[in-house]
Amino acid sequence: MASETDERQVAQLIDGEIGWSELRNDVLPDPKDGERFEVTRRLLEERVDFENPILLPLNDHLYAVGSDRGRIVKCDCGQEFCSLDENWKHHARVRVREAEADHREIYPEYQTSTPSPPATRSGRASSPTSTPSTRSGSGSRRRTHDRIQRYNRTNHTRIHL
Amino acid sequence: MSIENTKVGAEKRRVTDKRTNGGEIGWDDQSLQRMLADTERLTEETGYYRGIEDLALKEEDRFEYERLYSRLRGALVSARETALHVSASPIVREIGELCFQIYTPEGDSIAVSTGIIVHVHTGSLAIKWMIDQDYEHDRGIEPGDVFCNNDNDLGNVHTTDVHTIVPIFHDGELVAWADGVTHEADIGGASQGHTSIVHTSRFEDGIYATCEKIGEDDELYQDWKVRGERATRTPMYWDLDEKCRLAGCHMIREAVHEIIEDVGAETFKQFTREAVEEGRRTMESRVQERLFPGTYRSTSFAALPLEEEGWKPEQKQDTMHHLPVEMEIRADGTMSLDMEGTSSQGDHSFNAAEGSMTGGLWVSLTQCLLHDGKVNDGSHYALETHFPEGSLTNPDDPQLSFHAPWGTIMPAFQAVWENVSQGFFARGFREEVVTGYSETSNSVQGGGTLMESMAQIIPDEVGDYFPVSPFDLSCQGLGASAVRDGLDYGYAMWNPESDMGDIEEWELVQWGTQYLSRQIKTDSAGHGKYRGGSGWEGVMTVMGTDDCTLYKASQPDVTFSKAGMSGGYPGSTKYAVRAHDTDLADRAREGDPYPVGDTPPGTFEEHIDGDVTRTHRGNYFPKEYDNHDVMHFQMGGGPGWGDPLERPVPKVVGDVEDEVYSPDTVESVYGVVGEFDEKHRDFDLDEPATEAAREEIRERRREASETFEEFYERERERVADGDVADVVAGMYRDAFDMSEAFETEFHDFWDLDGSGF
Repeated sequence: MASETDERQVAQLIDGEIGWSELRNDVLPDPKDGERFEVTRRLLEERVDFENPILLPLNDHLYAVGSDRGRIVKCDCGQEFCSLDENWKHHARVRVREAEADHREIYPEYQTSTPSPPATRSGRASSPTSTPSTRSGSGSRRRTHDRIQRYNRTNHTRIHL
Repeated sequence: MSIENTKVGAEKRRVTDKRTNGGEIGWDDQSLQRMLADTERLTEETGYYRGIEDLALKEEDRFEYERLYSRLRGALVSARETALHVSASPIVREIGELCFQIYTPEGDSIAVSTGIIVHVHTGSLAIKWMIDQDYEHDRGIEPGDVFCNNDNDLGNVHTTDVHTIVPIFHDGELVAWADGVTHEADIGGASQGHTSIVHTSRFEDGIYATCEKIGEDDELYQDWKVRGERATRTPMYWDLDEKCRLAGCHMIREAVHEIIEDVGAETFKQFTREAVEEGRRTMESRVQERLFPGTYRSTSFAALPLEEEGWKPEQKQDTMHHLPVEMEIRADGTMSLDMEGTSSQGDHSFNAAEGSMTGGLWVSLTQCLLHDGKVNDGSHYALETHFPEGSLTNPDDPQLSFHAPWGTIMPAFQAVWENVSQGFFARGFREEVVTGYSETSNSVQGGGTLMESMAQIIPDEVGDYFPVSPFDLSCQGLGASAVRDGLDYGYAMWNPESDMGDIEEWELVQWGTQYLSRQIKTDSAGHGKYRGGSGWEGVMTVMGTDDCTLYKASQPDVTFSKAGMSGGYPGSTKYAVRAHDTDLADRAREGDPYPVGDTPPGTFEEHIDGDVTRTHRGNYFPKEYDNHDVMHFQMGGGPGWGDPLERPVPKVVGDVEDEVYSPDTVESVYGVVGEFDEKHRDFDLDEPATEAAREEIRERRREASETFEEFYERERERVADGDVADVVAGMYRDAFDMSEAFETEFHDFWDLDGSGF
């Protein structure tokens, strides 16, 4: 790739289609191409259905985009999460694997963290999915939302735009 | 007497005359202390190394400048490659566990060789400590002197890394320092091995050289050599490596003298200054070019389960360590790294001195930002670090054990790598993303004594003691990037030239142990669209010994250190299984199967009868191993990147056929269904079933997940009630004691008013 940006290569990087030889000999070594950010951004915009300008990619499916409401976090499926100033994880669904059976779906026995720590206190839920939630009302969500609003420093990553 | 010896004599007379007349050994008749103070002041005041705004030499003659750099770095690499073949222990020779550095008079690294480049800054700390302690006037720094340091508190990574430091003089001035470091198989200590998890204090770690003068006139002191002979379990390896380091340092000294002869001392001096400043600028320009500015946060966790295994009362407890990392990437190319909220130091061997942490930082950044070779202390000046005093990452008590700081460094830098990788990804350089790595364990260690009949067939000078410290651990699974899978069983974060070594070589050194196998550890690679590199497992037995003790350090085992990225999963954890009082000899006689692994877990026992011990915890302290006892060990897989359901089906089929994943695992994680013909390694894909399985997994994700608000409220209640594992609550309480800022942050997040743990 050297110092010139090869759009074909950038597209291959995004699509995971670049071969090891080309990656090793042409993409990984210095110097890097100077236009990578802009070219990547443009190619990503071509791949999504929405019109919002992509400001930068956050992961495989989430982007910081421009909108009428300012900078927001948006998924390539069109789901709008939140303002870029907030932690998008606070607007995502959560799945916690805590019971041993949940672990066994992903890792064999002994090859995962201790499913049931030896020293736990009583009353602990064995699995989040088996715990009836009594706090899913809108009032509760509002309180939670307020707490989270007060706590913006927990953003995993805060980018300077 | 060599030409260099003659030069040393002449230089020494020159320096003695100078000192007799009130002169100093620094440049332009300054003391080293003055040079160091000026360098720190000028760098602080101007933002440039020693205030060098213009790289005059480089601008004036770029070719000559680059030639000088290549010549100097070539001398370091040449010293490394030559010295390890002149004289070196097996770890150093086979695996390349050594490194050479050259420093300015005030202790700033100018260039570093290949090898364990984690030491680019450690020698710097040791040299600056000697300057601060006024060695130049008190202990004395003269041509031909030899110094040694392995004290982490003064500048080292872990105790078994031993430095030899040699001052280089020209025309009565100290023009540079050469530093060679090797990794020792044993330095004495309460337990055998190079990275012991057994020790609780400095007094159990073994030999400590505290920036000690160990020789003069290019010769080592007799009493120092006697000390090495009598204070380590492997005196021959200690001696071989000491000669290796000293020979390498003297080769570097000779190369510097030749360079000065060719270009003149003033040009050499100017070059060394500009090289450090160029290193600073390179670092800043790379950060500007490749990382998106912002504040990045990640946290790693490290478990140290010693309640069952601990020997001393103070170490018999299960603990977890909290290793938060916040990095600020600034638009001007500068960076900061802050570990506020880190767990406290303790009575174990995981204490990592500040030098250990900066070492981990440079070996990490070298592999992602600075991989064109120009690495030196200039990079250090482009980055601010905060390792809280009294924490695991900057202990304030030199009497602690520093034998296995890797137990802190490796998980901590997983968080660093995640932060930097987020910065790469946002900037478009997704090929530079690395989700992390498997921490380099299992570390199998120990030693023993051969039976008389066996001892008679090996060379006399080796003796009948054999150490066990194979460097199989150099080959772990690397994490995925954002464009491809991680490297399988071929990575160690502390040495980019990772090499597990040949079994035959280890068996030649570890006379009483024999390998029964090395094979892929199925289901160890972290899942993802791009999977982590796979780990592997091995089995060894003990033969021909009178007594042998073995132990195993393991990380991570009872908990994960960190997650994968962008939906990827961490690699699997490690565990322990061993068999004593076995029927292995009968099996060998009868030609019956014996254990070659434990895949899937639980199958080890199918091929051996005996007293089998299996624990979720991967570590155990030294155990007596009789002949034909069997040890299983394993190396881990790296974390993955992206949603496993987005991994192309043909790749998953390949994973099964390569034994990276089992058919059961790919069905439950990747939704790929088929029949696997193990004998022919052929996976017959059932496409309709695969399509249905993938859809079913998506549906289950919807059903089994909850809103963040629901998750938060439920977890908050647990936190408020203290309804978590005691080790987790203990970890947070300790972090609160260490940092009021972290405690406030934690309680703010969970909206607690001092309740909870």
